[in-house]
Amino acid sequence: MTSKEYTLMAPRLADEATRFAVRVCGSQADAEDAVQEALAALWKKHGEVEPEGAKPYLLGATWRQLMMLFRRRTTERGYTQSLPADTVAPANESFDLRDALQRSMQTLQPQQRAILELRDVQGYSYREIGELTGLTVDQVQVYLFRARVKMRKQLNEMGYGENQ
Amino acid sequence: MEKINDSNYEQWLVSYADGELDEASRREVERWLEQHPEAAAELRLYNDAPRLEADTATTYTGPLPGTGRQPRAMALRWAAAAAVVALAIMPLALHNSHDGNRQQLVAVAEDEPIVPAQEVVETLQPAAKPATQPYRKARMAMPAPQAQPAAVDTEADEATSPAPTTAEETIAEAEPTAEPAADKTESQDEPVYVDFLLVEETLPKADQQLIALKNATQEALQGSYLGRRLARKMPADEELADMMRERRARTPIGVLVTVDALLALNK
Repeated sequence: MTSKEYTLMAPRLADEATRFAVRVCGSQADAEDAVQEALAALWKKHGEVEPEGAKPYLLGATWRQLMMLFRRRTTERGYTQSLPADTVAPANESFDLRDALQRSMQTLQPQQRAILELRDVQGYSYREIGELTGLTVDQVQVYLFRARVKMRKQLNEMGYGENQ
Repeated sequence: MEKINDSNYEQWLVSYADGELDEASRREVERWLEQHPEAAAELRLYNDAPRLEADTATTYTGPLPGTGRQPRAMALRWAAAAAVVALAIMPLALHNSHDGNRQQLVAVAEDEPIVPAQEVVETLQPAAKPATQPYRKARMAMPAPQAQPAAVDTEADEATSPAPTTAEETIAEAEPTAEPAADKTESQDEPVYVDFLLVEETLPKADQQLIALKNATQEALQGSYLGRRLARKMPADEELADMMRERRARTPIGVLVTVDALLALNK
């Protein structure tokens, strides 16, 4: 990828990586920090990366930055996620479906959120997701299965039945 | 892949749901599901789970390494400064196009008369018509230097004013058809003078709106990386005064406000 190609692609790639990162960590500020580091890595290596490989490279680098962030926070503050885990509202409390989806996402592990985003939004194959996140295809499938089942259960508990 | 069992059924079910299994494997999974109703229930949940949609509202606002792009928030602040300047120019343009008054603010030699602040305010009152004219038109509406004092520097003049014919055409084009006649016919051909060097004194005395405009411009420039750089590049007051004595350029009020704000930042 030439410098010019990088310059042309960088704004769009940065937006996509930020969406991915926000989905994983739940914080715009943390997401942008991770993306900025990932962009710096991509810029450093842009001569070795093909244009079509730029997005997976950036998403992978962003993911690694996020994992470093989670590890650092685990050490520093003793928690593993920036989002509250297993905090499902009572079923009688009504939520907008969008909020409900957001809340159900918050109960998932970062890996599960990343895989859902990469599969549903980015449309990557299990193999590609595995390469990007450092997981095996089997692990990706298991994480995905458990993530979807958990999400659906949470939505049911929040009063959003399977037909809604 | 190993046969479906209690420890690997999840990946089997993902492949099954995706339709990636051959006929024999599919039948095997279905037989296993009949014996494991809890797994069958999980498969239903899996299939019924909503798929995520792209969150297009989220964008990256930080710097882009390697491109020199500044954070978007900074760019927005600079755009705000530009908008303030455009707003500052707008009343003058609207005024010119509204009543056909060919007056404008000019910088003049020190021995030229200085119009009191109140008259400046009158000249700057925006016309009661929507501010829809583009910035380009605002600049084009500046009239030709017919009543220009002799001391105006010709080089700077050329750089800031359009050709007389174009200005005439633009003014005619911008003139409203149903507006009442202006009541300033007496002073129609007399330019309003503002000594560039007295901008700082004149503006605050002129009008509360102009003070607010100056403060807003200053704030916007202060919040802008480029604005702060510009301010640092502004010469000290005395140097600026000397420079302007030489130039005597015809200067739109928006530029005066901006220079004023930059000078204030530089102090």
